[in-house]
Amino acid sequence: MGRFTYLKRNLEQLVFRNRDQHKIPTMDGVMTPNNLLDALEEVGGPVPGADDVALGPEGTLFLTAGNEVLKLGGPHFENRSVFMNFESETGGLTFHPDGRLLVCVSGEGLASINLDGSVTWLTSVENEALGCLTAVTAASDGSIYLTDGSRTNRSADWKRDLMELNASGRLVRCSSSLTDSEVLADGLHFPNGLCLSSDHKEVWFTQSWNHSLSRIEAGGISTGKITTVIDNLPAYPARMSPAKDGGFWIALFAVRTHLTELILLEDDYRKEMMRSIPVNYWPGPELRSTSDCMEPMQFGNIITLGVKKPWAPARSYGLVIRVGRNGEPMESLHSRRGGLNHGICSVLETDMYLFAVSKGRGQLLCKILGRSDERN
Amino acid sequence: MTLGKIKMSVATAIATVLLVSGASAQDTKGTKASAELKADYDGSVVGKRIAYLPIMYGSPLALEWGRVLQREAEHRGIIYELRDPNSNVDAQLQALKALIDSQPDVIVVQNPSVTLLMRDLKRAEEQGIHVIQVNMASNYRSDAFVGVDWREIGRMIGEDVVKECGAGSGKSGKVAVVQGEITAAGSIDQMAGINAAFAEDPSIEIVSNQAGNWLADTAKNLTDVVIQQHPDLCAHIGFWGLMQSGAAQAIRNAGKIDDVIVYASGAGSVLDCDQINQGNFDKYLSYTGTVQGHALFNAALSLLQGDDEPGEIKRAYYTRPVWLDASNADAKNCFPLDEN
Amino acid sequence: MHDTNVDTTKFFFRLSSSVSPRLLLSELLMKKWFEPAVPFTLLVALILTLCLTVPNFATVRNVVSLATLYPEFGFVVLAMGLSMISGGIDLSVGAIFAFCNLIALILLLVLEWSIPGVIMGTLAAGAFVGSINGFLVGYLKTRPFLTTLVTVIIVRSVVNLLNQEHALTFATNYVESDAWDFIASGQVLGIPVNAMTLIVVLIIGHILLSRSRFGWRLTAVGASRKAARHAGVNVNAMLFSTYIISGLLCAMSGIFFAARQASSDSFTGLGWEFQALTAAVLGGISFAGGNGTVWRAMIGGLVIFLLNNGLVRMGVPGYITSSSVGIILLVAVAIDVKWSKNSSKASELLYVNPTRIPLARRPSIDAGDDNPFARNDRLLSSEIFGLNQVEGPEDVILDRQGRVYGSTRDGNIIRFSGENFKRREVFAHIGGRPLGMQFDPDENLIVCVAGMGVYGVTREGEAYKVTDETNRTWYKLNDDSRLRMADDLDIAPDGKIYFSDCTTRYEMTTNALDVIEGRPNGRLIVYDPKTGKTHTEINHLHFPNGICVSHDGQSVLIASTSLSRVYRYWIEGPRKGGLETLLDELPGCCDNINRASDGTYWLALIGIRSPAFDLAGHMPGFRRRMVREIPVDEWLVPSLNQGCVVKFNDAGEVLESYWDPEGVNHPSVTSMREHKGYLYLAGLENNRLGRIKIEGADTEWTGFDAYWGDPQKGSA
Repeated sequence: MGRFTYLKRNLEQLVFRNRDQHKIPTMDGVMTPNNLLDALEEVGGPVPGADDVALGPEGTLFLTAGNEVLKLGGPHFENRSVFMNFESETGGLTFHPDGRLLVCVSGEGLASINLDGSVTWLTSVENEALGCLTAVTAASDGSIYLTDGSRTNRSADWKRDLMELNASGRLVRCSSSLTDSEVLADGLHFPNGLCLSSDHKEVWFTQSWNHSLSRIEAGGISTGKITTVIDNLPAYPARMSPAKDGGFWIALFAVRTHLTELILLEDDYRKEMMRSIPVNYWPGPELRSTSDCMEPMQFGNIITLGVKKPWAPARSYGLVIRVGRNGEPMESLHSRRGGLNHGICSVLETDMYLFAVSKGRGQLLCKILGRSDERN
Repeated sequence: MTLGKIKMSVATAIATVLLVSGASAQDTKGTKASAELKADYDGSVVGKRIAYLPIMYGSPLALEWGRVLQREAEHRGIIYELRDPNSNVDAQLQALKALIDSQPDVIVVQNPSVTLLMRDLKRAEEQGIHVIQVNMASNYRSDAFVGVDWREIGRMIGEDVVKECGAGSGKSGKVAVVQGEITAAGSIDQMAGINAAFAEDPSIEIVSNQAGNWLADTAKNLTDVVIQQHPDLCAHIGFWGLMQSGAAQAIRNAGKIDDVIVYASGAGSVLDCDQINQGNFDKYLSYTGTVQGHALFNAALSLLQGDDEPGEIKRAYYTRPVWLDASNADAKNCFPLDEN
Repeated sequence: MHDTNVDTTKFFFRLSSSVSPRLLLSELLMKKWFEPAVPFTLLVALILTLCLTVPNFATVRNVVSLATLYPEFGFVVLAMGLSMISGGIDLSVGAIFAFCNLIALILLLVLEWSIPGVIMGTLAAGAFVGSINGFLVGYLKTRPFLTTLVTVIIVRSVVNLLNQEHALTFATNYVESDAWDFIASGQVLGIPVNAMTLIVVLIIGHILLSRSRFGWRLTAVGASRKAARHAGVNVNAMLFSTYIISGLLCAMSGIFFAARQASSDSFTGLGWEFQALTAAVLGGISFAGGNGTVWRAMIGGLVIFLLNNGLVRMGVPGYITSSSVGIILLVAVAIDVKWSKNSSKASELLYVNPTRIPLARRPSIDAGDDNPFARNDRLLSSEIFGLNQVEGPEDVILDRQGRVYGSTRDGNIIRFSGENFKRREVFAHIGGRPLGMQFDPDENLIVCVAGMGVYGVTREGEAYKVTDETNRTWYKLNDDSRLRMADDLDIAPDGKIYFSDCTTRYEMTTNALDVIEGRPNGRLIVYDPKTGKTHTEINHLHFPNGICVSHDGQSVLIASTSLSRVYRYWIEGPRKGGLETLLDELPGCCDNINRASDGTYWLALIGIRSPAFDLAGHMPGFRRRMVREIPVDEWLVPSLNQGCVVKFNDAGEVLESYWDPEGVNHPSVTSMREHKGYLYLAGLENNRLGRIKIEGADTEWTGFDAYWGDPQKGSA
């Protein structure tokens, strides 16, 4: 089978000589690389494993990191306390309109932390476990929407899920009480973030492995039609959140490279790689770069006359984009090769701040926004 | 062997068996004279090779000759070979040379011009191959010529034109001629015949005499001009039906198809008869392609059965041209094209 | 994951690793003689087919009759080919041929000229029509296609008019002339006279095209008029004369045809321009111009002629014959267009042919491990000097006065001296890309220069050539006599210079491809100053890089970059001529080797074998598709951004390593040189040199003295 696909690719190269082998869109226009992410300010010290952030009551922030949910209070969010501790890694979190805190817990399901501190769980949907919850959001009518990245891998094993070419993710809706749940969409390529449109009629969600942004009717039936908004992002999208103007913020945790795209086509190489090489030495996207010489190196990364080329292929990258209410890209914030704030998994706009969580660096970042009317 | 032949031989076999069972053995041989005649005949023709080299096998006339030749030859156990240069004179020249090298017994050739193949035809006979030239002769006289007498064709048409357009007809007497390839026998001699006929009536005037090179397009272009210059044209003569259809088209386009008498000559295939029946040709002199095919084969037979060395005696087998017009251009007089 | 059962020192293994059908094809594609090879093969195949299928084809009689028939067409194809080489096209060849045939007949039969007069007159007629084409195309700058198309129409009408007038004369007149008969059907040495003439014309044409100024200029004009004009070629006159020659060739054709057939009609030479065009393109004369030979024209011409001849004789229906030539033209033109556009791309695509790299086990380099490769920070304490004053010094060396030599990418040798090496001077300019260096006994600095060969620089800074070529390997398609990338050298006690030519398939800028390819494309070459001869000592080595003559002078150590191995090659003693593996199981790709003061050796590891690259090493198809499908910057390569120097001894034991694990001071160290207790560091992609103090090293030891002895102390 492998041999045949290689032959087919060879033939395609002969026949369609000018066709791009791997269609990664170039980053230009509003996507032109800049250093805006590196210009963000740090909020407090490092938080290893920082993943998602949510705005809590009374101007507090809630941050998932490792197995914990942290509460950040104070005028500059300098008061950190552990709000809740779980058995395994926490991921996406959000506040329900009724005040409960909803937290995705890897390998367990959705934890709903009631106001009295007790926890209710949603652990499965349609008799299948929710082991890879990546993001959660709640609508004004109380229904809760979840993305479950993969049926077979936990969220921390995302790189394996990519290399296994999986498409077993689900978009799930459940009732406010967590009692009724249903699968809205199945067979997704690692759905990794979701957000309701400003009128709460649609759920917008990202799929990392096919680099897409899609939407589906919120109140629709479980077989509702998925509309693809952007089908070919230059990076792997993660969580999204509403932007003030009715559009969306999207965090993209790593950029695509031609080498990764090639390896995704190379069944023999990929399978042997997964079998015999430790996952941190796999070629492919990463949340952070190290200078470990055991990691795979791409030719452009060679230090030439003392210079690390910022345009060279990046093993890790920082990228946040804002799209309009119809999904058209409006602006982008980058941290390029050599930059610090890579592996952005979450972004959140509040009245005063734009927060971004660099999971690669383990750091909550923010930018103080002017009044909303100053931005066009 | 076709299915029909198989059936036939089976039937004959059965009949023979029936006869034999009811009569004495002597009757199966027939007369001695006829048996000897047939044996001599078979001895001189069976296994001989006839090679056929037309200008373009795709033309109706060449097809018809080939069809008759092939059918007759194969029936008599003669090997029939076809070389088709498809109007490419170089290919025809090459094919002829190669044919000579391969030593068939008879070559049937249609000359594109009176000179081109001349030397090689002579060489063929020198090498012991009988050469039959069909319709279009060359300057070299070979063993046999089969076909029309072009002068006769020219004269017959010419005389008819004189009758229709000449003195006393009340017509202009203007005649336009589109010849074929200028150096082809068919053009040179036919023109001579026409000139001879016209010489008898000074009121006939040839207003245009040009070469259409056997091409309908060329004939049409030439005639377009002629009909403009001479709207009172009385007759238009074209040397070959397929070419003349172009001229007829030009006349029709000029709205003169009912005024100008369109003459043509040619193979006598349904293509030409269609032109007659559509009113494009008024008078058509048919070479009778089928008859010519048979004449060809008979000429070949007599060459094979004769003792003459190639080149020794020159024979001619002229076929009789037949007038066709709207009254008789029917299946009886026009050979079909699909019978191959 | 690693190959232990492969002995990479065996010549047969190395030779077989150099062989692959794909490789052969790519090298064939780059050969200039390969282009006509395709139509030539077609011609041979066609002849064989015809011999087998057409009765009496392979007979002397048939060959003679074909030889009589072909030349007229051959001349016309040649005329067409010539105009195409000049970058144009002459569509009027068929018409000029018909015209000259007619003129010859008129002169002979109507005007009754003498035979020489007929010949001269006809040639003049051909040249005249050609000169009209030439004048229009050359001086009035009209487009050849349209110009000659118009010529066709005019000349054809003239032919038809004259034909009408004289057809009867031709048909009836006949001239008895031995000379004319000889032209028609005479033979010279058993070859028909027209064929003989064609052969002579071809030979003259070949010499003219390939060996004369006229030919070179013609090709130059065809390739690019602008460039030719800039080079001082009189483009107008060249084009003018080309079309005249074309007309003359057609006239010759016309004379022979007139003599043989004594016939002229409207279809003489009809469609020949089309057939000649097909033939020329088929033979490989490109539409683009500037490319073609008379032989290519003839190959194409013969294919078309024989195909026509054969198909008619096989009794194939005529329309198939006619259309087959048309189809061939379409295909040939398509191939020509695609070929001239993409042949370089195609050979490029095919050129890189990775094979399985027989890598030995990869030892651990983990920092905590108890092995000599364990990563440490020992190079982080280096003193950096010459910062931004060198550009990619592949090697570093010190002279007897303790001055340091490095290099820049633009071919300069830089010398640093004085306190903290602050004083910088351009010691010499060689050009090329200087790589490995060594001093000879006379204190000349011998330098390997990529793309040039081995050069020397005297003490006064004057550069001279040592050698730039070696013997060509007789069985290789690729001409390997040139030194592509002399990489490192060392000098044996007898003065012989041993140097590595790391690849015969790539250049300095593309040598990463050689490592990715993983084939034994390099060699060890020796230059003997006594005889002045250069000789390839070991062929088929996997990227031989560092070269070091052992302390005892008995052997040469060869570092193989792509195999991560060090070989020992015996140049003296009982095992002289033997090649053996000294070090394998190295964690990275070897670069330069130099002597250490304690009788051991320093070895730079330019690249570290990352697990991902090692895996690719075992998957040649993956690497092939990688270099083909993704940009250079994206290729997976060994890790190059750390600095690593290891020390080993003559027993093949690795003793210790010095690391700059993240390349802070010295990324991609390619060479190191010990001098008076310090280890000096250089790197191919670096903008600096540096040195570290070596604990416990002999602070008096210098490389020069170790090789050639200290003249003050007497020989060592």
